Amino acid sequence: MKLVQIAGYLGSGKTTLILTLVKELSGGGSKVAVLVNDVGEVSVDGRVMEKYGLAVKDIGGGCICCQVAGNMRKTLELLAKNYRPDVTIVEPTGIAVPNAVREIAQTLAPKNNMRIGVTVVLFDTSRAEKLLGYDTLKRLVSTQLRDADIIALNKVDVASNEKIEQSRAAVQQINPQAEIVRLSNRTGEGVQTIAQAVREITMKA
Amino acid sequence: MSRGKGVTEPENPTHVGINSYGVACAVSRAQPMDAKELRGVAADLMRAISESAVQRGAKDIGHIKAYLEYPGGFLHANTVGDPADISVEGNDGPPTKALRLTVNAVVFGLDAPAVRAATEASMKKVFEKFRLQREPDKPQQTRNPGGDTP
Repeated sequence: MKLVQIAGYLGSGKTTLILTLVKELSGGGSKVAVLVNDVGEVSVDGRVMEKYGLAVKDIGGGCICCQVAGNMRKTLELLAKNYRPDVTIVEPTGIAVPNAVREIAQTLAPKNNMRIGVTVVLFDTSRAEKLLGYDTLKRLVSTQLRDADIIALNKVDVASNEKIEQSRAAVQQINPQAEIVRLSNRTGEGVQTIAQAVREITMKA
Repeated sequence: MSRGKGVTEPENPTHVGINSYGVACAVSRAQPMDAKELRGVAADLMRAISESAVQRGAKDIGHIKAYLEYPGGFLHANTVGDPADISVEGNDGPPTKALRLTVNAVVFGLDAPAVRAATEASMKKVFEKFRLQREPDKPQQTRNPGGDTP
């Protein structure tokens, strides 16, 4: 089972990207599961994904990077044992720290035949000033961006070119190693690039 | 450190200042609501909660989401605070007199009681506009992952 993380701040477009990604990957013959974690006690994302026919495990009660890390651990083990997907896409909360989630998965990997794949962190270019403007928020968003293998500059269809380029410069400064991809869940721009990155880890079985 | 099911662990310090409120309830009306009206309910909820949170001092609308389910149809709505960018999607079903509504509001810069107040007041306002009756509540949750607003 390969684990891929689609992370990013609240409202950055994680769920919408996952809905598209799963179609792409399933269409290529992969068995895909999604592990989703909403901030609130009441889940919305998991219900929506189920309605669109995805195999979803929903973790509530807190954030999987800290408060309910144990639930994530147990759920991943059960998924690996009982459902045996080729790929599990983890959607942490919008306030989760991706490396904390990755570390939890890494402790499970040896025993459960898991391979840790890419961490994609979405960045909402239309809200760049706010996200990197407030100190407290900037600390969280920067932490998320630093943990990314791929940073997806999302909503490029609604943000101005100037905003997109400002976002690119800002995220590059925060994480110079990450691959930066332009993404639009509406137009589909960038989705194939991310799907390919996920496929590559899937094929390295 | 124990990590068993149901065991909660300390919160990450990066969560400071972000609070949420989630509620699930049954809603009904004597006259059936068609798809257009149901989409209107979803969009108005997003707009009202967002505006109410901002009026109460929110620095950023993290994410406000709603899920409406009824026989033969469902809708999901969300906003990050821009009134021009409220999305309502799903599969429209036949007119209905009853639906199940789930709302989740996550806000930066408001404390948990204020997020709850903004959400509940907005739901009341939208329910009144559409003459919707809220069924007796199931337990509701207020989450305070970030502690006090900075």
